[in-house]
Amino acid sequence: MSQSNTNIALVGNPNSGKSSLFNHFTGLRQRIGNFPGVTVDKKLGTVKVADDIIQMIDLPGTYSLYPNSKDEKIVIDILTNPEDQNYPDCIIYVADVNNLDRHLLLATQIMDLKIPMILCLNMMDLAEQNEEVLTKKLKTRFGIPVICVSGKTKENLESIEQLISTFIKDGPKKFIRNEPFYTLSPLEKQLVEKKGEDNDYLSLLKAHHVDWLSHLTEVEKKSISEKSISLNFEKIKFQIQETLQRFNQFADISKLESGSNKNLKLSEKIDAFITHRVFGPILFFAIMFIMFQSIYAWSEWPMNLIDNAFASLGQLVQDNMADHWFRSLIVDGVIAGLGGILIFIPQITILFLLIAFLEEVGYMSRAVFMFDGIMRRFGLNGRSIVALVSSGACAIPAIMSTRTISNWKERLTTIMVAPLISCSARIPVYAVLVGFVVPSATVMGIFNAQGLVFMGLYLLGIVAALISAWVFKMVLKSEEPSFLMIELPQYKTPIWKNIFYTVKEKVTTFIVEAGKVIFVISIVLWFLASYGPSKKMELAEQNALTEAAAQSLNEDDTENLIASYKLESSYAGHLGKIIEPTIAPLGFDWKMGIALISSFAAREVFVGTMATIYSIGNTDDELTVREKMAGEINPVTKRPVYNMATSLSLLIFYVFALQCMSTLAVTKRETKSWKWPLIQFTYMGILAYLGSLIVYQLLS
Amino acid sequence: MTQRSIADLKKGERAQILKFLQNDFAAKLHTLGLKPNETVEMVRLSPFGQAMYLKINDQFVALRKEEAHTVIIS
Repeated sequence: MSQSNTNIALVGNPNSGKSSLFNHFTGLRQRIGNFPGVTVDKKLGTVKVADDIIQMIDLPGTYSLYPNSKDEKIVIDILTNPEDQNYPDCIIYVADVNNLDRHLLLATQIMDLKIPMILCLNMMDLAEQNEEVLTKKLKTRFGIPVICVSGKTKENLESIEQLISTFIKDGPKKFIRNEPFYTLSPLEKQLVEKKGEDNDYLSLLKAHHVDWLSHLTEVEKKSISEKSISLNFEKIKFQIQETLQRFNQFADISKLESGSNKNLKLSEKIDAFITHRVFGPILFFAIMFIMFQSIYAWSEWPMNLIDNAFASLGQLVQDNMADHWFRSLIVDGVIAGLGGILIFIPQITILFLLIAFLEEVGYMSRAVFMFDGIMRRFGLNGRSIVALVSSGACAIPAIMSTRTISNWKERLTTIMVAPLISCSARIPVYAVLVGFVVPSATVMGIFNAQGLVFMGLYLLGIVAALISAWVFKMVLKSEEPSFLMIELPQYKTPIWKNIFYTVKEKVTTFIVEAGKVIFVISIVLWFLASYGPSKKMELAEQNALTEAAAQSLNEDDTENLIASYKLESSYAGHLGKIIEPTIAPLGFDWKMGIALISSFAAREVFVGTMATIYSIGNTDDELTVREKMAGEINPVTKRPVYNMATSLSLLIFYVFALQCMSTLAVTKRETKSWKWPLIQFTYMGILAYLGSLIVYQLLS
Repeated sequence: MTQRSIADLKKGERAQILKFLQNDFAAKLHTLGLKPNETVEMVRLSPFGQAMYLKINDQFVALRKEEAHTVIIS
């Protein structure tokens, strides 16, 4: 077995079924990398072919070498740069045989780049007709290997391996078509002449994309631009001419294919209901409702499991290590921090699973179609709906999913408002506080009052997101055209393996991206809460001991009391007291101040912080925390601190405020500047402050 | 007679594409399968009326009304 240096890339249109092939070939040997300089995820894997191990890369789906979005640009950037480390030695091109003419466009463009290619006609096990006739025809016409496969039933996939192994043995000759599909016009010929070893079409593409290709040198850019100007090269005109000329060359073949197609008719029937003017939107909201219900229903058990596991782990370390600052760091910093991240995995996994399912069957593009009109009124794009829905799990993957929006202003607006949608990290905070706002009573026979408040908080986030988007629409200027133009792929039964890998990839990204930040911040917080000016800390411990002796508390309660007194004297406690005057109008005291500060790292820290403040010891149990909070009495008014006004004010604060470092980090990465995350943090902070102020002042 | 565009199609109506008025839209529409001489069928409007669900050569595509306005039919 030898490691071969062969790089194989999977290329094709979106919905061509190439992910199925990638998952089949690489299986668990796939991993996610980053393309240098950009944040587009790179799917890599290794494949065993005969005696060689080859690298396989799954490039983002694209319709042509004239890209519309960030994801698509990466494909062109790689394929126009033979020096690129990801430049493929051979391409497996996957085309859906049901939409052959559209799928062949990109194939002919790549063949003109003289990159070796294996053309795979993915049957999607729908069209069985004339399999051999078609393959033969394309083989003669294109002069490269053509095979029929099925990503779904795994039919004929071994032929791909055989062809790869032929490629490695015999070289690329049989895999390259020499005759170009596109004949350059005289003007284009002038444009690309004398370019060394580049082929004509490669040079032409460089001229088309001179503005953004990352691998062009300044000298190259300058010479290409000057030539384009002097020749008066109208890019769009030539792009259209090229596209139409290509289509004309295989129109006869694809016409042969279009005929009766059961699945097409079925899709049409399904859509008559699913995209219906009235039922369509109702169904969408019903799906969303069921989706979020199932997240709560299904995740409770695994979340408890994780919670308990981390509690036991903490206890284990606590019992087996000497009492030392290092033990405290491990138990209260590292383990608590890790637990804080991992507890969200069940919810996030379920949400991603459901979203991946909706994408896989083809529903999401229907939602884009239905809501584009509304989204546009608020300065968003129909495609924003995918990001807004994902935001219900976590803003981080949601912000990353905006890459499909080609218009920068619409994409930016989506990024800016996505964190206003209540994410899963707010759930524990809501769960603790909602009980102070309304009792768990039944309203109108069927609804749970607390459930209704929960729903209200979610709605508040959605409304705030739409209004903020509208404000951004008014403020931001853009000349860039906005598009809907979206393919509505035929419905298909989901391939579970694809869903599994998508979910695995997204969850891993979440753990790594959010995890890094939450982890570091937990340790910082641990330090702030554990240490303070040493004299004051000692004094606090003595006071606590005296107090405990006076009340004759048992050992555990004494420990907890000490922890609570110490926290008050710690750096975190001081910070809380410093900001108390600022947050007093919202009904918050310094203890909530500490929670707010620590929640800035990640809002889910709230429950843990409350547990420490109210000296409950090492627990994240929401019920215990809530009981303790309910017993808290204001020393001045002698009334419960967590009355309705304060609790609702706190809830409103958590709905609006951007208390998530990871979101800020992702926004920075996706907008390539600190300006936008700063604006995002500020405007959401102002919303939170004003919202809480109004609620508290009206209710108290 | 004034030119008719895809945006003027009634539900269920079919027509042949004649030409494209706007090059930047045309370039993108071609890659989605909307080309001169193709037959387009208007399947339905979106729930709030601003987008169109079209069928072209056995494929479904959604366009905004103003995108549809730039595609002239015969």
